[in-house]
Order: sequence, then C-alpha cells, then structure tokens
Amino acid sequence: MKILVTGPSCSGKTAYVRSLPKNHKLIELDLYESAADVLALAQGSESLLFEGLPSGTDQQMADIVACMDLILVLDAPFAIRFQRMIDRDGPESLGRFLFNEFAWHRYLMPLFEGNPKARFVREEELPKDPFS
Amino acid sequence: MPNDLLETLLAQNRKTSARGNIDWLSVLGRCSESEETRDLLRQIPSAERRALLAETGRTVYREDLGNYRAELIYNTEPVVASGQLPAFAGQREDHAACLFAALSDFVDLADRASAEAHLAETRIDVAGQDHLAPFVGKRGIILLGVYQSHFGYALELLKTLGRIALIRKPLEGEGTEHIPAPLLEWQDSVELIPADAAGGIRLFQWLRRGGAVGLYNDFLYGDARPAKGMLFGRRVPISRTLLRLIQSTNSVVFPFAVARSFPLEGSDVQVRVFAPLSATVDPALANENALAIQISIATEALIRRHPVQWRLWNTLRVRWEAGASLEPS
Repeated sequence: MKILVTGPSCSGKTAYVRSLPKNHKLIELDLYESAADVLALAQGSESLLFEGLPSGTDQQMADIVACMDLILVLDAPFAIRFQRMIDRDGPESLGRFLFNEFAWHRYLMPLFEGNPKARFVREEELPKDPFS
Repeated sequence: MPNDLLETLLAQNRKTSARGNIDWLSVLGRCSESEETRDLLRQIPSAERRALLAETGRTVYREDLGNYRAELIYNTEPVVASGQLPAFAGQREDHAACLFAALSDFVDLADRASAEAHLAETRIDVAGQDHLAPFVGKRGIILLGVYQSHFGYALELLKTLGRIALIRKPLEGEGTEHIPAPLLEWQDSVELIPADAAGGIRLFQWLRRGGAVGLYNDFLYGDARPAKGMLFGRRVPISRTLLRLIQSTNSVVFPFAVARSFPLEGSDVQVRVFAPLSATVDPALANENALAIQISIATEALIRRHPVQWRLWNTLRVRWEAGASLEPS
C-alpha cells in the first residue's frame, strides 16, 4: 500500500508522519530532487509512506499521485499555518510561505480535488495508523 | 531630529520588543529589499499576489500576530476617540491589508522589464498635473508625499519633469558598496539621494537648478535640530533641513498622492498633484513657521485622503513623544 501525506506549508505533515509507527519506509519528498526518482519508487511494489509535495512536470506529478492508494491531504486554516511559519522560520520567510501557498492552490490542489483516493482531513481527524 | 531619538526609532524598526512584538512594517521593508523574496513573489501573478498579501495582512490583524492589532489600536485610538478620524476604528483591518499588499509594488516595480509590464496593465488616473506647469524648469519643485502607494505609479508624470531626485533613507554605513533599496533606481530619469548630509548638499544643488524632488514628509529624517510640526493635533518633529532647503532654493512644494484603489487586487491607482503650498509660491512668505504649518497640514491631509493606506500608523505615538520633547519646559 502506498500512502501520500500532503498539504500546504505548515499544515502538520511532517509532525504527523513522525508520530506514526515506524512500520513502513518513509519517503520525504523534499529530499528528492528528481521527480523521476520519486516516480520510480512510487511505481515499485513496496509498501511506502510518502510525505510532502509532489514536484516535477504536470504529468510527473499526476503520475506520482496516480500510484497512491490513499492520499491524506491535511487541511489546516491559513491563520494557524501562517503562525506556525512565523514561529518556525521567522516572519521574513513570508515570501517563501506565500509562494508555497500560491503553488499549492495553483498546481497541487487540482491533483487532489475530486480524486477518489484523496481524503481531506483536519489534524485532529488523522488516523493513528493509515495502513491499518 | 536628535540622533538618540533617531537611533531609538531605527532600533524599534529592527528588533522585536521584549513583549514579543513583530515590527511588520520593518519586516515588509526588509522583504521588499530581499532579492530572494522578490524572486519568489514575482512568480505569483500581480493581482493574485496582492490578494494573497492583503489576506495575510488581514490574518495578522485578526489574529493579532506579533501584537500588530494591539499596537495599531494603541497608536490610532487617540485619533479615533478624539473624533479626528472616527471611521478609522472600522478600517484598521483594511489598513493591515494595504500594508501587506504594498509589498507587491516593490516586486512589480523593482526592475525595468517588470515595471513596464506592470504599468501597462495598471489603470493610472492622474490629475492635478496642471499645477506643476507654471513652475517646471523655472523653480525647484518638491513633490511632498506620504508612505502610501509606490511613487513608481507616477512614473509617466515624473518623466514630464525631466530628471527627478527621490529621497531615500541612508543605508547603514552608507557607501558605494551598498545596493539601494528598490525605488526606481533602474529608471534613467530618477536619481536616488540619501537623506543625510551629503544628500542635503546634492538636493540643494538639484533644486537650485530647477530640478524636481520627490520625498516622503513622514519619513523620519535625522536632522540635528528638528522644527516643530503638527500631526493629528499634537506636536511632531519635522525636518528643519527640508524647510531650509525650501527657503534657500525658492522651491515650490506640491502635495502629491499615489494611492491604489480598492479592491487591492484591482488595477486602479490614483495619482494626484495638489495646489502648491502658498508659503512656497511667494518666497516672501516662506518663513520657517509658515512652512512648518503648511507642510504639516498638507501631510495630514494626504494621510486623511487615504487613511487605510498610510503605512506608518504604528509610528504615530513615537512621533508624538518626539514632538513633546521639542516643547519648551
């Protein structure tokens, strides 16, 4: 089973996956520069937990998403996420945060909206073990 | 302005206070000067960027992030409660939206290519330029603005005045190795002059030759001996150097407003030139008191035209406190 945990900046993705039982290999997408590498992993047979934002061309992103059995899209309000950004990175990271916000809504949300494998969940509703 | 006061103001603009304040004005200023931030924000289309920034400003206000709302209420409550700007009580959130959305202008107007594209898609309504015509090339011209929208929206008007000097804050350790803040330095017809002693001499020469100068009168100039001005009913320091420059160069001062219209993601910007200050038209009337009063009134009037767009509300108390120290004991 392959699960993608995704969401906009500071939505709690990383904290969530780190709280999960370590039964499955975790692929943190931020650490991969090549979408082709991620796609190769996603297309393999191993059971994997992906965390972060798919990147690459539109087609590569769509292909990565298509490989998933379940997509958990974290849904945290803008105000909470913005405050987390300030606490974590400082207020002058405003530019990066807003760019990510724009990119999320423009390029990533369309991949998940209407996707039957995607579940939009608030942090308090996240499953304790999505593989179970 | 006394140096220690200036240092206090600058320090306030650089650091967060012990109370956990975030000085958003300074944060946005540094963002506007950061090439990395501008490059990131440039990837967002201008109208969407303004909408996103405005929403961020509203969030900062609603959630009181970094004590922004508390500071804004603290600074503006006196002008609301005294009946000078009663409507502002319901406009503070709009002010926060404007403050943040203004960062977008520094992205759009940071270089020639970007500015030309942005100005081409902006509807700029200019009025009052006829006030300037009798004086262009004959007397020094000072366009007196306040921190609202970016001067760059007035570029076409500014070009009609020939080369124009814009006053900017002196940079730390002012010198040739420093890159100026992005204020139209790419524009051939614009010269940026720092608000320091060397800049004062340059301004004197510029105005004596009948040149045009754009400046923000609400900028906190580092004068050694400030003159007494007024802002919202209380004494504030204004630049004595500016008054001396007007007197010694016989320059004419025109209040000048650049303000984006609502909604902020829209494309409309107003540029207005107002009638010259009478104490500057007739050099015989240009004594220091008359100039200080007229400049003070003009400054306040410019703020009142678009109060939500004035970016320096959170400096009002500091200005008043500085003004109080000018009173004879």
